[in-house]
Amino acid sequence: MLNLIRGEFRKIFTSKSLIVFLAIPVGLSLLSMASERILFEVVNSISEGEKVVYTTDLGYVLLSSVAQDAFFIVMSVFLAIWNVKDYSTGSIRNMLARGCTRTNIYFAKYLVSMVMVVMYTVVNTLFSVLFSFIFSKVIGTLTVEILGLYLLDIFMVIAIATTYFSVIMMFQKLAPAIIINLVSGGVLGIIISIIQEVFIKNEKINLNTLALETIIQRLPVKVLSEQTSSQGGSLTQVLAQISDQLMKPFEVNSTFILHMNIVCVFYIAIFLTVGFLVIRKKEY
Amino acid sequence: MTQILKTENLTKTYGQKTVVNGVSMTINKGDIYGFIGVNGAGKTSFMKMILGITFPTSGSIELFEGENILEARRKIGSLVETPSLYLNLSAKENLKNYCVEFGFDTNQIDGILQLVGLGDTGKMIVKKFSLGMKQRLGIAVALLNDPEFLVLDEPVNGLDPKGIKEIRELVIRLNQEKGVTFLISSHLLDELGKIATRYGIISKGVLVEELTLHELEEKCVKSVTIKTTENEKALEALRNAYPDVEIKLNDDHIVFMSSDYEVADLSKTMSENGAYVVEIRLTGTTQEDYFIERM
Repeated sequence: MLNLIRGEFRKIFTSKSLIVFLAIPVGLSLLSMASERILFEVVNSISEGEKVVYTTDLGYVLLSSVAQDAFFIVMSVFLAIWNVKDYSTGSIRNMLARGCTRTNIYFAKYLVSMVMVVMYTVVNTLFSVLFSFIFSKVIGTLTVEILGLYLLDIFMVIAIATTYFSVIMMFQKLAPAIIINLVSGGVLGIIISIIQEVFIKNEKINLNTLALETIIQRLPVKVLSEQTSSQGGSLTQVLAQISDQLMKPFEVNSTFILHMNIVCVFYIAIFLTVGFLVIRKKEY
Repeated sequence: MTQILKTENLTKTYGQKTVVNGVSMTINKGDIYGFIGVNGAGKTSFMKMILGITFPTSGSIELFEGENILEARRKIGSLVETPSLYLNLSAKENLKNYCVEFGFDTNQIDGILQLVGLGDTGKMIVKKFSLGMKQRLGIAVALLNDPEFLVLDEPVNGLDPKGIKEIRELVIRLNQEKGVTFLISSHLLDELGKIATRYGIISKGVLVEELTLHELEEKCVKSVTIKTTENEKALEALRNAYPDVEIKLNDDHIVFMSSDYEVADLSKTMSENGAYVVEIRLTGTTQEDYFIERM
């Protein structure tokens, strides 16, 4: 198992795709922050009255760094590229023929994928923070609560990545795996929203918290809505606030954090198991 | 004698189609087992089950006399169907990837590349390799970690005559010097005939016949059919002159069970004893014909 993990890391770290994988979030962060700043300056220049300073909240930047659609698209594409390779080249036959079990191969790939996902998330956040300092006046400080929520974000990213991984391993073909992963998050969110609005009459039940991608996107807005509204904030922050107000609200408290952790564990357990049950019967 | 592979009633079914049907095979240490069959006969399916790439529908597989099958498979090198390679890496990087993955020593890589004739490919990526070079690299992957048993499915596919000869010599050398056991399938029956010590013929998933090289040679022995003016005299003369050769009188002709002697000498022997040749012809079957008849 250890050799397989080393082998998986080697394959990724000797591949040019790793540079692209890590460069994309850097580029996206740069593009996002720079374009926001430009837009802000345009609006500021044509508006009458007192000019406001473009500010971003450090906590918001931290939590919203993983709340971009592009973040998940890139993640799903690269997870597919790396994990499908052994199946498309037929290397899986060599691995099995040399006594590696399907179970070990599956879990080695999963562990390495998740390490890469965490690395990708951290790089993405670091550069988001860096560019926010370059393009705006950063206000606010990092509290233990914010860091705790960031860790929850990472856990939710891992849970989402697990669903991607599971789909990739079930199909073992690049195009179908990517398409399903790209579509499934949005579709799941819509289905859950419909069920919530149409069928759930109990006010205390909020099924929206099962849609992890939606929660990741709403979390920064939720936590920092007061600061952003009182201090101007970025356009994205304002738009995110409006969008959040249209959905069933949730409170960010210890119960919510516990609930989200349980949801993540549920996601990971279900998808990892389903993927495993499918691959253990696969023949090549 | 140590058994490297033993299968009993190994069967593989896809839906209603049985591609391997109750194959019981034994391969002993040091064998070069030639696995013969037409396309779709079940050769590759059988090999894939041995290697754990597919699951048997029924039957059993025993490797290295019942050793733990996963541990045993670490001692097996294989090349099944097309070589499984990372196209964007060099030959060396490909082997390195596999070595790291399987926990093998990377110091062996240069030697193996030399052995298969890819020692000078440098940083050229595999995508740019010819079919033959890819095949050689596939064999190099199979040779990692000094396997005791090599399972090669059509190993000379895509190789030029020189490459075929080199692979043949490599197989013989590994077999004779290191005692490596082989299970090889090939369409080139003539090639297989030059190296195999045992043969298995598979047809429609059924192992129809297993025979040793000696048995094959016996079955493929060529004979000389002779008609003379005096068959009795001819028979006596030939038996006296060639006491080691089996000679039979069948109805109106003599069957001389060897093709190692000159027809002219046989004719001379008989005429000197008063039996003059009316008709003389070489009969018998080649190894290739023998296999084709049974496939």
